[in-house]
Order: sequence, then C-alpha cells, then structure tokens
Amino acid sequence: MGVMSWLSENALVGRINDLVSWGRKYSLWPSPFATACCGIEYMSTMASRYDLARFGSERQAFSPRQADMLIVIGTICLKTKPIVLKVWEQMPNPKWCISMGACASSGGMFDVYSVVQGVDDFIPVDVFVPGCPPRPEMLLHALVMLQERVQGKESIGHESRAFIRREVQAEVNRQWRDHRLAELSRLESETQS
Amino acid sequence: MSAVTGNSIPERELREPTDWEERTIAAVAELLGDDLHEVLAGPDMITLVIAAGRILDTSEALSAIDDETGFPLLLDTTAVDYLNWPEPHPARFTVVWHFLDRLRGRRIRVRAWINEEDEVPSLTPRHNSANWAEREVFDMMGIRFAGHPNLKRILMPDDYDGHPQRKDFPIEGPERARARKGELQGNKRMTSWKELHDL
Repeated sequence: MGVMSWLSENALVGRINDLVSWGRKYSLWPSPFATACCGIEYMSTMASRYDLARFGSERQAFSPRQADMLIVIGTICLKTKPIVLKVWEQMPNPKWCISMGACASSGGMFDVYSVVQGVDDFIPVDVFVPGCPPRPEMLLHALVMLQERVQGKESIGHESRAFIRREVQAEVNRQWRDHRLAELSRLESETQS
Repeated sequence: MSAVTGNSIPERELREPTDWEERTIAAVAELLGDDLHEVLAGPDMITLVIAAGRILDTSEALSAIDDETGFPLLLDTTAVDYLNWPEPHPARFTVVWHFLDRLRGRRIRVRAWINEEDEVPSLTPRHNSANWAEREVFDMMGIRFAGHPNLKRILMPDDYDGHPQRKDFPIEGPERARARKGELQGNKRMTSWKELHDL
C-alpha cells in the first residue's frame, strides 16, 4: 500500500480558510444594541421558543469587545449615533453587522431631523432585516444569511453597500479616466498627422 | 394694563376671574404697573401677559404675595412660535411659565412676547425646575435666557445646526432640506447611485 493511497483514504484536503470560516460561521457572538420595540422581538428570538443559540450564536456578548456581530435594533437618533459607532469600533475584527427593523435600516417612519436615516450611513451593514418590528423568524433568517456570507467569502466581510459603492465609484472613475486619456491621445495623433 | 395683544383664547371661553385670582392680579399689577400688559381668564387658569424683562419680579411676587395666594412652584417653562399665525401678534415667540400653588391646587400662567434677538431673564436662580426646561426651550426654539448657569443644548447634539421646533425649520433637518432643493448632494446614498447609473 503506497503513501498516496493511504492518504486518499484517511485524510481530507482543504483550505485553511474554509475551516476557519466554518468555525466562525457557527460561533457568531451577537452584541445587541437595542433602543426600541424591535428589542422585544430580539429577546423573543434569544429565548427558548425561537432560540438563536440553535444556530451557534450561543452567547450574547454585552461587552462589544467579546462580540463578532453587532445587531442594531431600533431607532438610532443623532445623539445615539456616536455611541453606536463607539461600540462598533470597540469590536475586534472580524466583525459583522445586522440592522434589524425598519428604523435601523432606513429611519422607518421617523423621517425627521433627529433620526439617522439608516445605520449604514456610518456602519457597514451586512444584512438588513425589514419589518416593523420583524418577527423572530426574520432575524433567524438574517443570521442564516449572514452565516452563508461568512462561509462564502474568503476575505472576511465588510462588503456593505457603502463599501461596494466606493469600489464601484473608484472603478467608474478609473474607466472614465482611461477613456479620457485614450480620447486625448487619439486627438493628439490626429492633429499630428 | 394696555391693549389686547395676540389673544389666542377664543372670546366665548373667557370668563370672570374668581376672588383669589382677582387678588393675585391686583398684587402683580401693583408691582409691574404698565409691564403687565393683559390678563386673560381662560377656562383652565388665568394668564398674565407681562413684559419679558420682569419675569423674575413676577415670580418673586407670585411666590411671596402672602400665604393665601403664594405660588412657590414653577411647573413648566416652554415657548410657542407664532410665525405664520393668521391673527395680528406683537412678536414672534411667547415664553410661557406655569406656576402651582400646591397647597390649594391653584395654577397660574405667565406669558411674555419676545422676538428672536431678545433675551429673557432666566428663572434658574430662583427655581431649580427651570434649569433643564430653559435648556430645552433654548435647544428647540433658540431663545436665550440671560443668567442661566449652563445654557447649552439638551436634546440635540451640541454641534447641531438650527432649532427644530421653530416653524421655519424643515422637518427633515437642514442638510436633507438643502439636498432636496438641490443645493447640496446631501443624501449621498440615493444621489450617488443615480449618478452611477447616469454614467
């Protein structure tokens, strides 16, 4: 029996990244930032009837320094914004964010001067949960979506809309510049000839 | 007492003042003279319209008139913006103070008409309950209280632009209002995607 055949029967070959993100996927520690009525649905989600712990999200970290996943739950006012940002910046990388409910995602019905119109103004959000408030199943679905995201991406994710927007904008700028340069050189060659 | 000024209580709801109200009005009128502009006896309580500069005197008089009519407790300080008010009114804002006689359950309201540039004497040296209320009025209406120990915003962030409860304040806030009028690319989430699609 050769070494290779022994290996093929007894060893699994894979990338270390897959293993790491598989581990991360089933141990997302949530840090809830609850300010409004969505917090009640979140409590229900954590409690025994719906039980977010079934998905590996076992331990609620009320200290952001021991958390992987910030769940912004409820209306964020202008005066709360720096506090949410502080909580987010205290969390160690890699970290993810779920924006739960209409208020956190878009300001909801509070289309007024004092309310932040969606936390993705200042935090990269991975999953938005619509609803006013969302049912616990929707938060479970969001967690599963986030897990797929954690598993699927090799570099661990800050692909928020803001991030994508910056990238797309940079790409567009690059293409536009190239186009203008090509145009200029064509004009130059035309005038020379 | 001088002419009627911007009365917001309907005529049919006015009534005659009761005995203790008459006594209070007489005491305040004696102290203030011409600075007591108007007395309105509304359905809930009487309203004394005074010159804004005399509020400290008035509160002192109200709390120390005598045992019968003393109002020692300041319940509330607030303000009303009368911009676009259809009927004629002497100034833009009124500042409103409510006083309570807690032994007999009697209440009295004091109002003063002021404009944007005017300052009102702070009641905080006399009544601690005026402290946060005056900060709120300053924050929401932009009315400055002279002599307040710590007159800064209480509800909005310290660096906020504008005073939200004024009638000419846009409900969505100054930045987004400017964006709506096209003066500023404010709500970048929306506009930049549009720009991208146009490109």
